[in-house]
Amino acid sequence: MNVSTEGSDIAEGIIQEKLPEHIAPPRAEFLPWHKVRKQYIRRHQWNELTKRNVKDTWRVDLQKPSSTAVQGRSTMLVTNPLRCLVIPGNHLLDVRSMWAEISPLDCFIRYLGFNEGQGSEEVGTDVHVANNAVTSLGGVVPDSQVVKDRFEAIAGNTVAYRSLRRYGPYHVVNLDLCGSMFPNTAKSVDPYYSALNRLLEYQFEAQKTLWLLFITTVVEPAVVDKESMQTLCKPIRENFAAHVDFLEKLKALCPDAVPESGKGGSVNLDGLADEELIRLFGVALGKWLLRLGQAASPKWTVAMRRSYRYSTNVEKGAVMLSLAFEMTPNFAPPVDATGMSKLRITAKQFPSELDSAVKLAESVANIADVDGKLSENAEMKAALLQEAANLLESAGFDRDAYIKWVDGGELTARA
Amino acid sequence: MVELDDKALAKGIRATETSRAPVEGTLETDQRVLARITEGIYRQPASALRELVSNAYDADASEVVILTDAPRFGQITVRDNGRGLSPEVLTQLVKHIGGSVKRSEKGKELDVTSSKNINLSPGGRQLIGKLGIGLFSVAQFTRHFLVITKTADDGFRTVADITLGKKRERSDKVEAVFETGHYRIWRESAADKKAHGTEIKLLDLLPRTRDELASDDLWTRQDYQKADPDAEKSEPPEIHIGRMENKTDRLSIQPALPWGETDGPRERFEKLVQELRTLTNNRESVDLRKVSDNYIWTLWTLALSAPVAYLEGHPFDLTNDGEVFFFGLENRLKGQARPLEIPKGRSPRKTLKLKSPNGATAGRFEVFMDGVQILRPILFRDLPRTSTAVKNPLLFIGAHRQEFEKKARELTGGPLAFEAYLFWAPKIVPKQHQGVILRVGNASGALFDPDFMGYETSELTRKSQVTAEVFVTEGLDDAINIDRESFNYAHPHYQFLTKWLHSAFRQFSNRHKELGKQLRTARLRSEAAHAHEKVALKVRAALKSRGIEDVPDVMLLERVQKADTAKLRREGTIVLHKEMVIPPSTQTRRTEGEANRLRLAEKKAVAITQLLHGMGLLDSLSYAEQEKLIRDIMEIVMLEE
Repeated sequence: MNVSTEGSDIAEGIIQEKLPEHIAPPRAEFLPWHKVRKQYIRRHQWNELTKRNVKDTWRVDLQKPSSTAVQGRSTMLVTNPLRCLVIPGNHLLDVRSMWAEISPLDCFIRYLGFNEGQGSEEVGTDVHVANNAVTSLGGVVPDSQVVKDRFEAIAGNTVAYRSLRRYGPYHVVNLDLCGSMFPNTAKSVDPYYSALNRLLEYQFEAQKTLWLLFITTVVEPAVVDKESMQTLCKPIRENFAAHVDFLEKLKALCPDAVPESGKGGSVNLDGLADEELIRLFGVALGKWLLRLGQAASPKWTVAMRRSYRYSTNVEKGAVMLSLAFEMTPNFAPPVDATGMSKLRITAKQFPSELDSAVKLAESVANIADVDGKLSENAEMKAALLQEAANLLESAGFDRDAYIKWVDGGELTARA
Repeated sequence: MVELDDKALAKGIRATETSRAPVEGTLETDQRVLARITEGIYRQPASALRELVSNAYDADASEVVILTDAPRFGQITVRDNGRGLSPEVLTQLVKHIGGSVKRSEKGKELDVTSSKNINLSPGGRQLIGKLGIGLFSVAQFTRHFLVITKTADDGFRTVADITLGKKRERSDKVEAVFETGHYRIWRESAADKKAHGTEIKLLDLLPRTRDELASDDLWTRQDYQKADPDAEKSEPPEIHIGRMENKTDRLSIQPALPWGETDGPRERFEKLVQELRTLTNNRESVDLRKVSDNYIWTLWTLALSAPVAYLEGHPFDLTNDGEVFFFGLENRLKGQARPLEIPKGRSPRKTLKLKSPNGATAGRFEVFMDGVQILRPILFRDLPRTSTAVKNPLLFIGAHRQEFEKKARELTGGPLAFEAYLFWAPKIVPKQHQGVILRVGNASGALFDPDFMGYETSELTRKSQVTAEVFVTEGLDDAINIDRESFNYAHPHYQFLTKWLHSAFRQFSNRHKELGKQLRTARLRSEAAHAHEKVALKVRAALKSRGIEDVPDVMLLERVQKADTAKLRREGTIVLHKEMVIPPSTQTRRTEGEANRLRLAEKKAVAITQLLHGMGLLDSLSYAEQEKLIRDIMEIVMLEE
């Protein structure tokens, strides 16, 4: 009889890998997304566009905390909150900030966050404590949560994808990515595009009204992967020949990218200035989303809304791109062309792909530089600093230390 | 009395050799006993969730949210909006495991117990917990968890990071250090001053628990069956959360859940219950353990144990609409259940002034797990019917208060008060609802006891058709074992309830038998009357087809009725003697069915005589010959297959 444990697999899956270790209490150190620039994005892009759509579009369907129909009942039974998908930092600052702006509009918020770095470690504690605090806020549906998954994991048949479907469909999707969607030689972009494709597949099927997609990504012209960039630019290339207006707009944005003939083939990437490459990326990403929207049934119009660029440190310049897209379903009413019905239903006109593409190119031309805005307007910067300080303080940070940090030169303080 | 330390006590005992004066003291418990409790004393992971839900209830929470990342089960969160734990209460919790301040004067000071009644929460709920070990039930799940808690008007959250059993050192020679676990606690400033509640975050779930929650055994068994054509086959579950692909983040089997993505929390649970009803249509009984996976079972057991409202209403609120028959139970060993006079449209609760609440004993209490609202899933209406004589469900209701007067409280455990019901239906859905649950403060750690606390075995069928709940409002608490999943059988309250329940079951059983008998007799009679009518019509039609309108009068009499026979015959009635024309019964027992058979035979004998007489075929025969002929015909008619 062999009593050796060698080769036996019975103990597999019974014993844990390691002994439990205590988590260190979180440290209050300031990070890139604590900068005043980010507060500008929160206020002027994410919150402003969300607020506008709550007021103009979604409010009819959203349940109101002030309504007697929901009072005295569990917030868990709220069926129509403002649904948000986020990639939050450890202290859920973006969600806190949005809640502060949205809750006065009398609606509930339910969110799902993806943050792979939260487990039984220090970062995890930050997230757990922050999530506890945010879900305790009035009007936040208490099963809102940050799951321990990468956003990219939704591309597969995963737990992350199950979570995505359980909390959706979403009014607001805010992909504040750690990585980059800019095609680069590191080739780490593929999972993002697959995940984004999966998200659109789900949203286009399940969401019945306009929704917002925010994408924040770093752009790295110096390490562009030309092959991937050409692939991303395919919907642009196909527009060259078909639409003169679009061609002209693109030429104005990045003159060296458009081939002499103005016809298909490929875009010129050699010798493109960094600025041109960044603008080309903006149009290409928008056009890629638009192509997917137009390929869906019903079709979805994709429009770029107020978008921004900003710096994260002094050396690299404004390499962070914060894009806002508004997705609108093309639901057409049943207009009776035969005359049998006496109802006069007005047909709805939706912009064509080509028209939308022109507008996209115009919007890219208008991407604003946050650094410039802040340096031009000291009063605004000071107000944003106070807002950011309030926000951080609400998340347990030392307000004075923060202001000192910013005054010490936030851009140089930490990359 | 001064307590002696170990050495002094031993010395004292020896000293009694000469003094003969005994030493006295109170028994003491070793710390290790309690330390062992924190290692886990529960049978299944659901128990830990139940304990955390109970803690939330005792903290006057109105909602509890349980979040898992099923079927991966990496982390579990249990979040409530209860009072939260102040640093003082948290200190008590980690420094005195098993020394809960609930139900104590100190509990009043720390605001975890009502200032008026130590058995109630500050909000007036009958407390479930009492020992202070519930939190450590999480040892079933993990060795590492976080407690994030906040009380109202506190500008800080308190965070406790707790590791269990880390430094326990043991060898064959020595068991020196016995450390239950370790805590690290700190405060985090909070802007939301008004917020309150407690969140337990279970980190790094133990591999075995994770496998159990994910029904690993069940799916592995399916794998073996697929691989081995000779293996005994079992059906895969019909309702499940799906399966993870080994060592990846992907699902290899998609969830099969009865609800849709757009369904609300309540609708989801309703659909789960409806699915079980549907499954009952094509099988004898629905065994939830077979048709679902461990996740659904966990959800279900939580629904049975937590003090939440009934999905389809409390049985005491069933209105009298003619579907359910109501009976009252007597509080005597040889009592008799009697029909309850409940006016149409009214409920037993109103008529009998019953108090057991539908849900929490004070305020709202709702539990949600992964977006599904958990409600007590015991069903009283729309249950499947069978061919049994009694078709309508029967609800037997009892209430009792036992003071145990004239007995020392130490012996009786104090008064015992409860309300209860036994609900009979031809099929109980699912199978796991057959039996009795004892609820204290409307919560229960134990599931249904299908044996009805040891009720006689001859009642197997009836036991499988009864769901019973006993709602204890006073007493029995001390009889609950520390795992809260079983009872101390020796406790007088448990003993009392056993006897009461057995009496109640007997009362139900007798009444059910009686009802069945009545219904069967009535049915047979009605069937017989119908058959008799058919026979008479047949004769009338047969004669009419031959142009004969008058059906001759024929009577069957006992031979002893000689005088009547002669008189009737004189008056023109054809009289035959029963004994002469009807073959005797072969049955030894005179049952209602046999009696009906003989009555029908008599009716047929009369009919045959009428037919033959009507056609004039008997005119030439004497009465004796007529009787002989009819007897021969009846022998043939009544021949059994």
